[in-house]
Amino acid sequence: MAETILSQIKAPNSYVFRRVLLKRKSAMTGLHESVWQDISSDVKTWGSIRREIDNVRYSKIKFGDVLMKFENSSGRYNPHEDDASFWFGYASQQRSLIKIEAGFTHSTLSSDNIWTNTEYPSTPSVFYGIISGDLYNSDDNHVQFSIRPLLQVFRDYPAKNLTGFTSTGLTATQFFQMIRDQTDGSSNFIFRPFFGDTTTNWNIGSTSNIYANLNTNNSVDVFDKTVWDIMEKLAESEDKIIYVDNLGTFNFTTRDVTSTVAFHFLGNGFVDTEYGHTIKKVSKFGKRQTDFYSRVEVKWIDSNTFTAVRVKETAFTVTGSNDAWNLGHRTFKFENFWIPTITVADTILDNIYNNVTVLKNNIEFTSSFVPHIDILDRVRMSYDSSALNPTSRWDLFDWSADDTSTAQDLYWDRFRGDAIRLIGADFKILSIDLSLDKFETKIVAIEI
Amino acid sequence: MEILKANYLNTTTQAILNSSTDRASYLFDRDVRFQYVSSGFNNDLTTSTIRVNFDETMTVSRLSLLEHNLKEYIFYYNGVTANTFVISGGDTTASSFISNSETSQYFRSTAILCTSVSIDMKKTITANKEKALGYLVISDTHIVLSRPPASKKYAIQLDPTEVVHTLSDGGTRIQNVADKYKVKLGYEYLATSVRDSLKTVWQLHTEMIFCPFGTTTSWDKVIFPCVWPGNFEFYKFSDDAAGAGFSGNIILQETPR
Repeated sequence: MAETILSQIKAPNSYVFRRVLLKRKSAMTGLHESVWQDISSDVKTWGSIRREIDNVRYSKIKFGDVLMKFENSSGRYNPHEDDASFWFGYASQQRSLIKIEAGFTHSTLSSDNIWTNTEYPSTPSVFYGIISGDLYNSDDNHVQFSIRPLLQVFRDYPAKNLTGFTSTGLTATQFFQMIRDQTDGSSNFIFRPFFGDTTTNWNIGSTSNIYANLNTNNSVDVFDKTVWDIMEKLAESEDKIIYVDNLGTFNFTTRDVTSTVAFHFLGNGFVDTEYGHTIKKVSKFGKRQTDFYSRVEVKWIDSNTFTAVRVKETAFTVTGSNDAWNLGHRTFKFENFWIPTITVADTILDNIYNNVTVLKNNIEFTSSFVPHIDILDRVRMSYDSSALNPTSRWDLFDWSADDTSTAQDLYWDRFRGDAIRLIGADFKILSIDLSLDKFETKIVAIEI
Repeated sequence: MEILKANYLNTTTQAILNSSTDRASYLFDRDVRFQYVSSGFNNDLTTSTIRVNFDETMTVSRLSLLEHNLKEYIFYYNGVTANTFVISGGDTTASSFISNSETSQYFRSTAILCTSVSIDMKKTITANKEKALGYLVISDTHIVLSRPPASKKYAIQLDPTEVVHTLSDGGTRIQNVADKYKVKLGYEYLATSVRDSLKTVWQLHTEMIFCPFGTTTSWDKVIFPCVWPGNFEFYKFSDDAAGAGFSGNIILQETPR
């Protein structure tokens, strides 16, 4: 049978791999070397890779550091000035490029005594980042590297130093293109080298709103900000998201989820020959009440007027079917003075309102190693620990049918103590935490 | 039972290959699933050559070829095909084979001082296939332990690094990262000279290679790069007489890839 990523994920016994690869910066040009250096054999602990969007709060992106510990008895990971260092002859260790790969290896031996090894997925990268932060040696012969997502490069550059503003302002698309093409004045790109040194790895969505305040680097909204501050504001005001995917591509795009199911997670109670059984534990499932708001305020001008503060709310009535009465008339406040028009403010208001006024199921679960999924992927969930239907007080099978069939007669469930019942329910992934030490994926997802 | 020096082949730049240069690192990767496989040499009339250069003159007395598919091949030193190695205990006295059928072999030769070792791979066991080699060791001995330990004091095992997942229905899924050898050798009544030789090896605190029962035919394929962690124990007397000899354990653990 032909092997695929799915057959490897569900295999009862398989080989997995994990690699960490490095590109140092030239001491002369400052550019990253062209060939990835494999430093996997020095890793003592791998840590976890975490990516998340909209998990803690709508439109908030959390930067997850990967903390990786390297064996350093030979001084290989000492600072670049040390001649034992792997960086000796190169520029500083900081902002060295890091790529982490993980997946499955399937090996077969032919009758000619030649092994064939195939990796799944075929592009196994799970994370791109840079070394950023303090690197301390210790007397127990290890160095811990803090590896930050590539977005860190935008935090480490002041917006005041950008060039390319126009007197009439810029659209968000134009701003991101300006960042992509930003140079040091001598035709050396500032950000592009971290994204494959190509324009291909920049997926910049199209926008049309012009931000008049992006007209000069001395603008009040620019001069004391980092590039990341501006990016975040633009993403909020365009109701888009920014993230770097597992292939190292920069994305400024909508938060829409595709209609294609990226993976079907199955747990107790289901048998599936395509995806297999991957759910280890469902640690949380249910409607996240704290994410419910019956009222949304979007403040887009810095004043307290009806025009400046756009409000949309559920009609409040004291009835048993009114969510605002049942759950509390709570307000989600959103403030962004970059929103260009009242129309855009109302669009954002509608989007947030539609998101927060419907109580949706959230699920937090752990699965065995599934390397190829990403945030915003649509995943299908099937989990049912017993034939007991938790949405009914009575087990459907608990009553004798008065016909001759005994198929539904008094079969008591092997009740296992949980009452989670998911049958092919689609969820959107908000957070992925991939442990490279345990080869385990922890996922937070919201029902679509 | 032999403890060898670390493999002389340990960087890709040492290996001069006439094809598949991207697979050079597999020659010294202990995981034999990852082989050097020639490209464009799937014809028994063509010869694929591996030449391993040393940056100084080295003593070579042990060569090991694991997981290969070679029927006719020759290995020689300093780039001269006439410079074959003199093999002891094998099925030939010169390192030139015409009709080999073994896929893993361990050779002991008279010690040679040289700056390179070459292997001309001419024909494959199944005719006209690409030439493949899973692990190549070129080395010399640190110490040859002329007698093996008692069977009760020889514990060798393959330790897997594995992740065991317990799934929601109680089922188990295992994902393997790597398998590594670990061996414990217990000796008694060692002569002072052997103890001192072992101490010299231990004090190097460096990588070495362990091969317990290397042969040219029907080999168990046990050879692995390793380190010797822990104490040096061989100051303990084996009996109530100082002249009885010394006892202790050697623990050897495989190194990372």
